[in-house]
Amino acid sequence: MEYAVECKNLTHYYGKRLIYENMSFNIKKGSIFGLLGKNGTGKTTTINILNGYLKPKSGQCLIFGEDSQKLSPQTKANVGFLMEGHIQYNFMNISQIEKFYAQFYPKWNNAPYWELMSLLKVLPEQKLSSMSCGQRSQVALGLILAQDPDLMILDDYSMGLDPGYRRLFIDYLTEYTKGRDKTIFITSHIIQDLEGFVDDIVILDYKNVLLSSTIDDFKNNFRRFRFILTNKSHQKIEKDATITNFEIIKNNIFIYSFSDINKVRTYLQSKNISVKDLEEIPMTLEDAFIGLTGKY
Amino acid sequence: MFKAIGYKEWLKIRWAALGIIIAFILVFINTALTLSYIVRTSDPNLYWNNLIFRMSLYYSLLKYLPLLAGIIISFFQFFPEISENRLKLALHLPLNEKSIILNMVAFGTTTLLAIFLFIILLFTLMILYFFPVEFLYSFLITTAPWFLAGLTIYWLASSIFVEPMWLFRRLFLILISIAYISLLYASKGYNNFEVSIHWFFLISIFLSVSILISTARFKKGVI
Repeated sequence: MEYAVECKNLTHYYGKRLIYENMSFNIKKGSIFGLLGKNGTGKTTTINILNGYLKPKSGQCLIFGEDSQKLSPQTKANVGFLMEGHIQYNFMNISQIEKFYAQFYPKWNNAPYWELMSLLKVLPEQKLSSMSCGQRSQVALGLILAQDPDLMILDDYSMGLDPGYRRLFIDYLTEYTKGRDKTIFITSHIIQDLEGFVDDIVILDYKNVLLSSTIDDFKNNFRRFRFILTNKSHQKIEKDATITNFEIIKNNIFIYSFSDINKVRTYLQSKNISVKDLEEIPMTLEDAFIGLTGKY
Repeated sequence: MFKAIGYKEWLKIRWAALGIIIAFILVFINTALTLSYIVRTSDPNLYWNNLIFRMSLYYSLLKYLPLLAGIIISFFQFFPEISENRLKLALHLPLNEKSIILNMVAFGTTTLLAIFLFIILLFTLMILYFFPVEFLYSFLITTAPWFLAGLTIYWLASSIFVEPMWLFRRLFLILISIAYISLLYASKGYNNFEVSIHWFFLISIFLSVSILISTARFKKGVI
């Protein structure tokens, strides 16, 4: 198996605050990988380490086999980077910024950039500083597509975007990576947008990795069940190997588990928890994400 | 590719550079008109006495302008880079990171040098018009620390902007900068740096690459 990215045993602290410990993951070449997690779980930290902007306390990331702290110019030319908030040189106009970046990348193809600009209906002299967040996101995306890198690292592409721009972003990424062996590393808060887009995911919690899986395995195997308590036995419900998470809303109990309904029923009976109307409730990817990570 | 870096830097500082040139020209015009008036209307012996014994510099308006120019160019060049951590974009360019930063600094340095040489040329022409050639040497030696201060503050301010650790490292660099620049402005008369300017020049050249240390710390993510 060839990997575009390999991160091994990453541990990082900000001061004394542990971000995560011994985190490892690999990204297959040609796959779309989502790093998910709530705010403050270390998504941007991981991206900074991957791009060589942050030295982890221990561990190492390799990009196309090179240490991310010492990337060669050739490897950097093959990595597209979208900064959180679609940050770009906002003192340039859309024509100047294209002219600037074109000098650096041997595979530069400005067609997708100008195609996206034509959708925005902006003039070539329009300065980035006078554009909306959504428009700037398309400039940043257009520049990455024009660079035509084999690996795209996209840090929270959805930040500040309305549903239309988010959809446009994903549609263009899908179109330009289709059948072209491109690897995408993406983080986002808007989980439902990634449904049907990403292949593999890692879900971060505070200080550790909650899940590393393919998106299909996660969606197929992670389940939500609801039942009504007939007595006060809810105190016996706790997180363990069977119950990944649970919520109690009045008499309704929601259980999240990687086990099927029969195993959950048997498990509850073994704990002497009397239940009524146990049923599986279908989930979207976002429901599953919240079920796994909790609401707060 | 380095031409492209120059293009980016030029877009950031062009209006600031123009403003600085205009300020220098205004100072030149003011000095030239004042000098012309004095030479035409006052007693030459009295004026000579005033210049030499009371150490009145006829180009004193020029004194802090190079310093201000260095700070302004550094601000316009590096503030956009550190706001929202935009420097990451530059460091992601497919070039050696030290070369990227040194090219940015080289561009600012060249711009300042071009402005300084232009204004020195104007003052040279003016001095040669009004005074004997010895005055030119005196002008060059007396103003050399001011122009050196302009370049040095540009290098130090750029390093301060890029430095990621505010409380300790930036403050430390600011204090070092103030102390060193104060030395360059310590003299009040003519030609006082005649025997020492080359040492200051060497120290300033050493400080010109201090930004590389700040950049390495920025890249490591020191907080």
